[in-house]
Amino acid sequence: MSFREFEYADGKSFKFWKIDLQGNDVVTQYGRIGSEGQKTKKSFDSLEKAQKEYDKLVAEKLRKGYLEKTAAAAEPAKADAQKAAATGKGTKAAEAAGGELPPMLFSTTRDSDFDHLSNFIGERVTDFREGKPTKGKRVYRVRMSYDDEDEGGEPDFGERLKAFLASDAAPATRGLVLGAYDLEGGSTGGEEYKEIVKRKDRLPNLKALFLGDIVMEEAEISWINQSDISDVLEAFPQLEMLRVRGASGLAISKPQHPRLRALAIESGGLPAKVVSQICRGKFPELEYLELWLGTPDYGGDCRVNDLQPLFKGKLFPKLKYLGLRNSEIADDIAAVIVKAPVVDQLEILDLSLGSLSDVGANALLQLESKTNLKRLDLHHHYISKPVQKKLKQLPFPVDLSDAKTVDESDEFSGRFISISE
Amino acid sequence: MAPPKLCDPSEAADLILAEKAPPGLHVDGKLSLAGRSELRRLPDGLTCYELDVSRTKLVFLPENLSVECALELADCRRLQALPANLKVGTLNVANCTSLEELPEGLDVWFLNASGCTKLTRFPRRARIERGSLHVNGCTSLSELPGYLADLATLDVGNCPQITTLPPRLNVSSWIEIAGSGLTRLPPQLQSVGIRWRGVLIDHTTAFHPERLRAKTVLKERNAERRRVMIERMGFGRFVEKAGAKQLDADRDPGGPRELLRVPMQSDEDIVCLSVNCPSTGRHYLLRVPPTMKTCHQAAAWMAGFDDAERYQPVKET
Repeated sequence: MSFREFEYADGKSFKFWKIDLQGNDVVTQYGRIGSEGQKTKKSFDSLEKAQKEYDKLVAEKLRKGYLEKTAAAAEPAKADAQKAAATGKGTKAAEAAGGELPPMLFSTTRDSDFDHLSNFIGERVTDFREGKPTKGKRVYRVRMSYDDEDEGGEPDFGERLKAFLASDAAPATRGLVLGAYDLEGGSTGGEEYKEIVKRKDRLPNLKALFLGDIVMEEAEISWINQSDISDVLEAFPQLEMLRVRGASGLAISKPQHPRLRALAIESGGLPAKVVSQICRGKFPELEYLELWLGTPDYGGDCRVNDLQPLFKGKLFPKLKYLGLRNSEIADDIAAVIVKAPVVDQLEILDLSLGSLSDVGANALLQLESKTNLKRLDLHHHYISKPVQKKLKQLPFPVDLSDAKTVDESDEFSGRFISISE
Repeated sequence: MAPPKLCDPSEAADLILAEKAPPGLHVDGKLSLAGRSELRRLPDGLTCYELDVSRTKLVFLPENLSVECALELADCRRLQALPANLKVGTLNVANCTSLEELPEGLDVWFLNASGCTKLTRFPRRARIERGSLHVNGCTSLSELPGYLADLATLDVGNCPQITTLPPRLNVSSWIEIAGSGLTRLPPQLQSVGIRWRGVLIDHTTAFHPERLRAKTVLKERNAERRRVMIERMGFGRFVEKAGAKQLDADRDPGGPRELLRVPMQSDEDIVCLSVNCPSTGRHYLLRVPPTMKTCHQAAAWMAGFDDAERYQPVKET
């Protein structure tokens, strides 16, 4: 046999995992993408046992969201490389000139215990600091951090963002992450980001934008103020990916973009109003839509009915990934989505981090006939063992990790979504 | 044709209430006129994403009304008819007590017609699928239409005349049945969740309460489910089978009466008064607070006396 190769990316990690069956040995190799990584070898006393281990490990990786590198997936990269060879430039230069982001890079936040992003669109995030050399980097973050306070002086987010936009770093930037703008609890109006719209000419290569790489220690997710992001969409017609954390004050009054391929909104409560704006959206290239619906306690008043225009399908003809995460209405969503035409176009359905119970999980068993699905992500759930067992029989990998339980005799116990504060 | 006039919701609401809205008005977003009792009519050809006209005095809607996502008409008690071929994601006509029928050609995912007490039948031709159908308390409704195929949830609670479900119906999540005429579920629905006033219960509790055993009930850890099981089993049979202890016994005009206690694990004990009605001779088992010590104290509590000494009825009937 030869190595089968898998890759996984999110805001924390950017890694590969390879496996091969060599005689009675299962050989794996893993590490950060681009590195050699390390090798392990496990020997078994029969081929049968080795094969079993091999299958188990592969299934486990697929459930966790690793994607297998197939010949087809490698094609565009090869084409890029050939193009690069023809022009005498490296692959990276070719990408900077306009290569599309691989879909694997769209998801960044697997769980609610997120830390500051260390990876974004497959590259390490570099914090911009005034006066620091910026050579060769393409993914920057602009933020205030507690370290700045130690260094003395009164750092100001607006000043730092202006300095970044004026620097040599800006024109080369492919991925931009905007972090904490105020370490006193984020009580401002969410207008801090408007500077990038004003100076959009300084960011001609911007492909991916993350508004609000802010962790709990800096501000709870419901304290993060956002504003109408339509201006950002309008200012960057080349943008492929937009991720927003926090939904207070968020609006998308003009929900349209000619090239956007990934839209993600992380929140403890996404207002139905924003959902309805997305459901009236014109995003012809959208492949990836991730919405954290949250709880009504934090403004997440969206009902399953409000998602119906999305469930009808056709709204986003290229949609391949749909994530309705961190949701208190996960059971309601499950019951309806199994009958919804949108499922027929999806490769990944993600209902993770929510309060999914047997009620919804039993409905999901009806996805049995959906052979287009490559993965169902339900991690952080309240599904009983017997029903979990049934879900594992579905013809695609199902992530059932992080199972929660409720003590039914305790009236204060209940099913909680991952972030409800 | 003139281009449609695109309006923001609050501007549109003002125009409509002033009866100055032009025909063919397009509203971008959610138009809410809920509770506006002065609303008499909607403009011809109104188009919007969501429309909320709950609790208004509307009697009819324009024939060419177009709403994409949700049409909210709850508590429009004068509403008599809906436009034919109405197509919308969610239609909520809960408690539209004048509504006798739904329109031909209706096309919805979610339909809430609960409390439409005059509703007698469904359209001959319609699509109600993929979402939910809630007709709780539609007491005049005697059957569901045969074209129902796929639903996420179904609520036929308090529809005593509904005794069967359509043969092709498949429900992915749950069916609410309390107070319905259903005595069994068709074969294709054997694994559906069953709800009894919102509480998920099993098949035996729902359709064969006579097979319930006190031991099973006492083992149930969920207090809500346990309550429904006791109700379904019958209080009397439960108390008898659960090995109730007698706390007190005496006589009243109906005959002998008893105060009984069933100890419960991790819940307050069930204490109830077993009495006969002096007028009808019927036997009742009435739950009282677990602090009650005597039959008289329990009877006084039921009559609204916290101090049992003061409860001295001249005559009990």
